[in-house]
Amino acid sequence: MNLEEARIALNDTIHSPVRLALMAALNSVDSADYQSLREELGVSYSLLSKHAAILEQAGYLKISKAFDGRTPITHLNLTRDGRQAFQSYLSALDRLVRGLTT
Amino acid sequence: MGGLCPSRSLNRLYFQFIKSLTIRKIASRTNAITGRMKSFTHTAHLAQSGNPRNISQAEGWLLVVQSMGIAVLLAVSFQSHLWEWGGIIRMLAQIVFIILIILVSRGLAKTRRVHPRGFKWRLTCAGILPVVVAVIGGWFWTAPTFHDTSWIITTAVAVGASLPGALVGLELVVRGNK
Repeated sequence: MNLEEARIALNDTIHSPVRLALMAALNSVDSADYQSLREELGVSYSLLSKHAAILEQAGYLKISKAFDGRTPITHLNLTRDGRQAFQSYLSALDRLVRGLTT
Repeated sequence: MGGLCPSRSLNRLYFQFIKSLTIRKIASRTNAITGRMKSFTHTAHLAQSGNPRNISQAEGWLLVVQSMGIAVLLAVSFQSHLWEWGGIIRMLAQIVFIILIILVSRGLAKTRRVHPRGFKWRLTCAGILPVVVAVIGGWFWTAPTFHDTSWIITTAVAVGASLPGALVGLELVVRGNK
């Protein structure tokens, strides 16, 4: 992969700071609950919902909801496509940081 | 001539020293570059085997309780034919187990937080074993009206079948911090 290919391989869907952080957090685990992710990422509910929805639409994320009485309990996990896309994104980053060196 | 020999050997030592320094410098640079080259994918890979935050210990204990329930139900099912009140005891064990499963399911939904990498796969594998034992053990010890297998063996099989599930639960307890 050369620099041009690496630049093109950078996935726009992942390339936002919040989405990248969310993908990285979920890539390290099987699944995580909304509350933990919100605390760890330091973002609001609405912002996390917005970015999670974008990743879900791209097929990278699966959002499952359950209810404890009236309280919704949301869990998020990466799909297989999501994990592959994140690995490709990291490989592209690895290539980019090498710059002009071979 | 005798004075040159020490100087030659000193020169040789000096060149060897410079050479080793250069090699070390190149090696360290190469390591740094290759380290950086691998850093993102390598770190992401390492993170998957690390200990994530916000794992629920309560969820782990609930899985242990569930496994204990499975062990008791299997043990009772395998021996109940041989007891005088076996049918009633088995029926009671089934009722208690269903109530336990309902309570544990509700508890699991409430307490579930972060699941470490590979947890789902381990839980699935741990769940398959009791089913296999229920089928095989059931064929030999539940389906026939009589068998002469000792309760020690059937109970050991029941406990052994539910042990992986308990270990999966204990993993959450050990790694958990919530």
